[in-house]
Amino acid sequence: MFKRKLIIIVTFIQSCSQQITETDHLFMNHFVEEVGLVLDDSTSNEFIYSQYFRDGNEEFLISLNPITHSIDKYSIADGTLSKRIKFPTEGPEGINSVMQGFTYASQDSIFIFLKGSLRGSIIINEKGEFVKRLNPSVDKTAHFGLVNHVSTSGNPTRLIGNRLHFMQYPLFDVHNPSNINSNYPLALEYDLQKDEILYDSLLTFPESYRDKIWPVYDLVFSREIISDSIYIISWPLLDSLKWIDKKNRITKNILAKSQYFSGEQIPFSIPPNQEEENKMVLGKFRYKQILFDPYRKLYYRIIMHPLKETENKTFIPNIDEQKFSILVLDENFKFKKEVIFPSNTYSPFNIFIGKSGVILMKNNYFDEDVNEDELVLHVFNLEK
Amino acid sequence: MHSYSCKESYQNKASRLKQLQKKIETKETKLLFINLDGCPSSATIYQDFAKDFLDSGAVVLVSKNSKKANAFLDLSHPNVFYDRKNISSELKLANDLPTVYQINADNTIDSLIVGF
Repeated sequence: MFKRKLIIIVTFIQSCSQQITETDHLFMNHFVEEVGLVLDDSTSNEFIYSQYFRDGNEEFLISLNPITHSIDKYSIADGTLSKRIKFPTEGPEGINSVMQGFTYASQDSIFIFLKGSLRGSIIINEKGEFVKRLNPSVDKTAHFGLVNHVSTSGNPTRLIGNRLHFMQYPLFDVHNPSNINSNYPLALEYDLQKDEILYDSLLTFPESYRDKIWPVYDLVFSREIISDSIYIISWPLLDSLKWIDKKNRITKNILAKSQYFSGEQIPFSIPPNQEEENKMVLGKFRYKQILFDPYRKLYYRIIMHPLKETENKTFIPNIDEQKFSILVLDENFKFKKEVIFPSNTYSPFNIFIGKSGVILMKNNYFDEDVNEDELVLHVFNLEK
Repeated sequence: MHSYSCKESYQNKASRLKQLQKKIETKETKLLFINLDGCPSSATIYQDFAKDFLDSGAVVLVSKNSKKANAFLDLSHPNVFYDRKNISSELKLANDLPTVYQINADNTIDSLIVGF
């Protein structure tokens, strides 16, 4: 009798843990390959500012190296550094202040951005030669203050035709509810021929955000640019994606909801302190990056899962402790699957799409086994 | 430069600083803590400040990445201490912004958060 009870208990424990274990390991069913990028003594494995680039049949992972002041091009095929493009940091052609991101548009146009400003940023070519310093004028009919350009992996600045498409972080008090309104333009375009910056009035804070107080991290969206007119926005707190057709001035909401969480969120009633903000963003689910996979015609939406313990934790670095899932949608935004990835393993910030699938970096802050002389990439095919 | 200073007599902070002094084996009473893994700009903005600080005290660099830390300050310098395990944050001494502590003879602590 005792034996049977024990078997029942053991079976029960097994079935509980099996459910969790199975979910945690299903992602490996989609594993395609591992690529190791070889890093020299002057290259940190963080790759904070990085970008995927395809040149014919060759694929590259490109990174801004703040130690060597260079743009480093790594071949995804064999992991070697195929080119280090040094840029000047002094003199009239140099970039001598804090850098914040880059855009590798082509061999002739590599943009290196200054922190918080397009003005003063430079363009170089693949030989490292200075091409141009950006000195745009801003649309004088609008009065929105300084243009605080930001380019991140989740919302990269992109060159389409002659225009740089980019976002800005607001410089006003984000905990003043009246600032979270429908007027402030979050997206801009820089016409390189006219040297002029134009505001995009279609991309402002979403309706459910307005006149409320949110953690500052929830005011940062991810954008995937499909064409010079169409783009898709993922807001951290919205179950739906915003689909925007700029030329025709059409905005649509498309449901792209996690199967594990609901989008109901409660704003703060008074401005929070940093501890309260961290607790809210780490303790609840959040949508992050939106990506389009042109090879498989799929959309991916990243979802960060809550931490159980948030005491004394801060958004950075503890976001790396969170599990995340990738919601997979077909080209008509129909749900296909949602795959959970483990905590403490991959970077939740740098996710790219290559020919073989979704590329994740194994440089998680909490992974004690990371080798600083190599950046390991794991590629997953989420189509099958 | 934005900064503020306050006199603190909390036994708690003094004992945590002493604990850290013991761990990194320094007798310096003026300590600067810089977390290089917080804001990506820190590695550029505070480099000159940290180099100058070495003339008067010790610098504790918090980072998971030794190459980044070594590019920021020479880790072989006798007054540079590399805190890869983030002990400084566990002891609540390192903040998002660089922080200077002065341990006074009467065991009180002066602290200064530095921001440019």
